[in-house]
Amino acid sequence: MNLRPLPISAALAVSTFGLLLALVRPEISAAAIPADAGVLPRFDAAPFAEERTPAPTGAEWKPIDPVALTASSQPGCNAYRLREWVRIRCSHLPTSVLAQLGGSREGVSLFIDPPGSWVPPGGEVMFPVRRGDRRVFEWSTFGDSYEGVGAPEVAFRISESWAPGDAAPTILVR
Amino acid sequence: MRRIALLLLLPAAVACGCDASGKATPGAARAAESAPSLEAPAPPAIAPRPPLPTREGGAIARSPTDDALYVADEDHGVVRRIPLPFDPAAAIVDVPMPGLPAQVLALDDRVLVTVRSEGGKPAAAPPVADAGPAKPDREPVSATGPGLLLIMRPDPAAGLVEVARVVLPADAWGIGVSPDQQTALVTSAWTHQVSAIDLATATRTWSLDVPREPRAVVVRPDGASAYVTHLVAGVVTRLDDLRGPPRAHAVTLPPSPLRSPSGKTLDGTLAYSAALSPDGSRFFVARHALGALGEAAWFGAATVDVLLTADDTPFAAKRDAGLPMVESEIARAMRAQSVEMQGNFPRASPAPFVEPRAMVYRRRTSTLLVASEGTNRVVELDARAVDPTLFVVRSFELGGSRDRLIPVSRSGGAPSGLALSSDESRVYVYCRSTDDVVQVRLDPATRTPAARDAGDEDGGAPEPAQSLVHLADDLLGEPDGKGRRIFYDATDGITSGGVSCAGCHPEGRDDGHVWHEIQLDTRRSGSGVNFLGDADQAPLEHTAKVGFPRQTPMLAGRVAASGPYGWHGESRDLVARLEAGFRLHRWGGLYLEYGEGELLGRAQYLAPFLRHGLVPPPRDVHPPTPEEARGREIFTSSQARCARCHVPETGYSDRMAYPLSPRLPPPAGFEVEPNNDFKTPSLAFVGGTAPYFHDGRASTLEVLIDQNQDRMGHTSQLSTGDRAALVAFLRTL
Repeated sequence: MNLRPLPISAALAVSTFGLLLALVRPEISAAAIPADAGVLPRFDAAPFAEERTPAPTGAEWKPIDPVALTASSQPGCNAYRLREWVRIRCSHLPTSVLAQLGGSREGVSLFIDPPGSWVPPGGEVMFPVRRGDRRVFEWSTFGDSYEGVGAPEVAFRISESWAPGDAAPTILVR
Repeated sequence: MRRIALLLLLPAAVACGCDASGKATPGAARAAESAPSLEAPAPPAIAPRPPLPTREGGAIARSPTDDALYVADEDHGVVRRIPLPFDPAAAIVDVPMPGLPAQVLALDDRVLVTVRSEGGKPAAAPPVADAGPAKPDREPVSATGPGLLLIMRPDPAAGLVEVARVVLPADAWGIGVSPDQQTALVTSAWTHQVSAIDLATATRTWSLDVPREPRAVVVRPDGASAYVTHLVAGVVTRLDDLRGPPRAHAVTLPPSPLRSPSGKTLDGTLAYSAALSPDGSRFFVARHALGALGEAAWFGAATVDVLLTADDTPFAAKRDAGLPMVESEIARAMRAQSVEMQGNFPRASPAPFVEPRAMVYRRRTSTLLVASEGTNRVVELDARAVDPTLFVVRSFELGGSRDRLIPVSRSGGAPSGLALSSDESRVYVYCRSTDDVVQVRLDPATRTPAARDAGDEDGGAPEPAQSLVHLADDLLGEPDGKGRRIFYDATDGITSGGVSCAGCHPEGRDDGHVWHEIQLDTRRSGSGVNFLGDADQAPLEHTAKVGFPRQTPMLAGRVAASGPYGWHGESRDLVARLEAGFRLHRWGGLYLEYGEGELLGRAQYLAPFLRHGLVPPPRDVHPPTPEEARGREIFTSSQARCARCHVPETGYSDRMAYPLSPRLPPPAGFEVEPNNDFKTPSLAFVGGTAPYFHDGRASTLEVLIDQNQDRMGHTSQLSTGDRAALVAFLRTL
């Protein structure tokens, strides 16, 4: 067997995990945004310029309203666009791991909030959208898997691409 | 245990309403035609031919006129015509075939059928007097006739009437047609050829040699080139200049790059099916990535890989372990203590689908429907994704009833073919191991046609989610028929850990892969000797060298002997070998709720099916050429001594284990094996089972003979010509 003991702090965190989740879960339901993307403007309603701009600051994002992606099945999360930058934020989804699985890492930013917490209540992914992109991200929450209770379990993935010949980029959240 | 994510996520059951196809509606087309024009009036227009439902063949096809389904029932040697609308009570017409049909494709006015080899007979139960223990004389024999493409016309009474037949290289299998429906391309699997047929004249215009086991063939929209998939090695071949003379070259499309160990390209198998997007910009290949990373994924993972056809580049980038990742403290702590995980690989179940056997593109939703042969499911994937495998829209379980003691499906087993209805609201699924066609409703429930016809706006029971037609009973009867259902079933946790026999032995043949046989001590699944598809799947304590090499053996036509079996001849008979195999094909140990009898019961069903139900590849029977005759002379000579162990009278094996001397170091990435005695393998069909040796070190028979070093027999003295003659003889076996 290849079992090494968890640090005490980790064990405590795992053992109280169910309680934490129970506290968080009603908030999720209350905050879930209806999956009616039709009321939101599409993220590609305005064309994407070829110009490369710096990643927006937090202050720049603040007044930006949500947009709808090509397809999304994830309630409780919002997407935003500013120039060629897209930001996907889930404020009420306990977040275990955010990972980029493939594609260019240029300009990619991943955050969980607050950093260093045992059960982060949310996180966000930010990336530029440019011709030739073919990125995939994986957003994991907490579950019960082969690795044990509290192990990362996929909540959804993000596919961001702009293939040659496509008129506009495609962003899927499933 | 509660699955926490289920509390957090709503089911992703509603497909996106976006339609990216961009197709003009028929109404729009008519409006355009009637618009005033300043140009001279054109001659009367020929009504544009509507696009075919699909230009690739399959085990099931729908007629463009929407009045029938055609099923290529290989296990009964017939094509079945099922009338539409789908009605379980409707009369089905069976059309006998001159061999075993592999695929069918319905054109506007013709139906194309590939026949693997003329004269091939389906495996059948013995006469009642012979029933009982397995008898070698019940083994199916190889067909010796050529492959055929039958050109047939629909007929209300006869189902189909043959119009013409085209002789092809043996083992004719996949069909693809050009957009103008003038040219058909047909793959011949065992003889590794692709042929072009002029459908107007019913003549073969060319045949071209390609790598092992070509299967699906898809003609590009320009009609000038095509893609061919292969059952082994992850190869995709592109054919150019289809009007001849054609040229073939390999296209790079790594299987499941996002799940591959960083920097590695995996082996790909089971590429039975492929599809193009409606605009032709993307080519999709459904297959299995051997060694793809995942939770306890000893065998890898199924995948749908995407090629961008503009420049033949893979859509998904190769995995890079250095990509950005952030994690919670809990995840960090768990990762630190987990030695069975290899970093931030996709954490999806390794099997959203298992052993993809068929695939169709659903235009209305920009999705792919994939038949999961091993798990009796149809999975719908988002075709717009970089890696559609990771973007599952929904999944449909077929059938449902299972046997009581060995829980394999009684209906909906081994889905092997898919055809969409004309409005894409339903998919028809041919299920091979249980001989059913299942109609699956893809759209939300509506009123029944009867209620609609009666003008009943409010009433009428909703259409069922699924309805089923049972086509026939298994010709093998019992126990072999149940053995067939076990052979294709990946859901029974005792037979294997998540992949069926057919996953590594497609059609009873081999996957061309060299596995790592390794002692695994796992955290949650106990200990066992297991096969791993790739060294990087091993727990981290295993470093550079992982396990002993084991090349997948072919089964069809090679398991008649009573025994012994196993790499070292350690299993006394086939049943014992199967019992051992159930333990090998998984992650860690095998938990047995009811004891060893669980293994014996399954093995006793499987063994007769392997002997009587697996149809061996075709044979090219011809008078020996002078070179083949010389090769036989060498093979049986007292100097070369090949026939001393590879005894012709007993399937070219004496079933004994011998030391291989001089002992060679194992291939890179494998451990030195203490036991150097290996059982003499059968040479039946050896010409089609590369690579060779238990460790796959010889890529061809030529390499095997050249690098033999007298480890087997005595061949180092042979001249170049004699070596070529020996190889030529081996190819006839």
